[in-house]
Amino acid sequence: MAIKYLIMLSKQGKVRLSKWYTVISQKEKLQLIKELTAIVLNRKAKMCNVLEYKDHKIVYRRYASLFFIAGIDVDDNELLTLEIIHRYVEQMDKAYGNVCELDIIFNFQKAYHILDELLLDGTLQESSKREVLRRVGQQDQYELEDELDTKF
Amino acid sequence: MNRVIIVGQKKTAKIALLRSLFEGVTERSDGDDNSGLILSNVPLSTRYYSCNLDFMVDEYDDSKEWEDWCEEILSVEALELREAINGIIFIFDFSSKSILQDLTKLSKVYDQIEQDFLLRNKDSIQWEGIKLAVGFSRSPVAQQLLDEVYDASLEKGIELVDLSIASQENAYGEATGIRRVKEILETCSWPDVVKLR
Repeated sequence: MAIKYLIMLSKQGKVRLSKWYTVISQKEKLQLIKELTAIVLNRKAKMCNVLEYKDHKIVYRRYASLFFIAGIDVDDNELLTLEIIHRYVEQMDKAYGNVCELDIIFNFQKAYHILDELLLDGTLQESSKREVLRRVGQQDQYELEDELDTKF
Repeated sequence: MNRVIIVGQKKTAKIALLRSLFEGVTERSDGDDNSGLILSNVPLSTRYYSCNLDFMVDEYDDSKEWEDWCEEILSVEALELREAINGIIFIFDFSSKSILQDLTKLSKVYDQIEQDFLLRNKDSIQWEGIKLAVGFSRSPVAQQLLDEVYDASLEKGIELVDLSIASQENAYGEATGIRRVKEILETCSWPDVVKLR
């Protein structure tokens, strides 16, 4: 199964992260985000986390003030998608240390990096929590070392 | 410049809200006539940035005056103001009889601001300003009324923060009340900030 896109939306309707695993034009992306914002933010807490949208499905989950929205095919497993979203949030929590919206706004590159280690072409590529964090930590270390090199 | 308009009917805890968010921000009280009051350089700081905010406080007497206020801000003459502000915080009392109509007018103001912004910034997907309605009450609020107002604000894309409940966290672990208002201010994309290392 493959996720078509993953969007992170705040309660204020601001897009904090968007990752696309399907080729669509910029105009269509903007339209999709606009429509999803209107649909998902209108949903109450006790409503179902899965809904049909155009020719595919939307699976979303709310964590504090953020909505994680994934688009999947009609045949794909929604519960698995919810688990992938949860895994992503757990990884972010470990990497950032008790992540909040502000952390994601000002360190968005880390959120994208964790997502890229977790998913490839919309499919889970690394199921080990430890491995994803190890790779992200290693890349951060290389980055730090590079900065030291330029200073000397 | 980081500018926010705080508007609400007279005696609707606008100053009290600012005081609970920022200590010592003003000596004024909600009993004074605060229409046209500007509180400049109110400091806001997070672990990532610090900035100063200007709060422009405005008041109205009744629903008719609120309608006039909305029409004024929607007018062509107010385009510069709409372009300059980074958010509007609307404060209301749950006991008011015209909440739903007031929220409808407020949503038209937000829509116009968003439209103006997207016309100027064709590559952007949305206006990054604050769309917030803050409700408070001096007496317990009926659950049915709360649900009605909450649903109405959801439909219009306005976040509603309920100050009538004392708790700063709901059953889902999300920030509520003053804590949520502070969060909204901190996560807003202010144009004029000093980033901290």
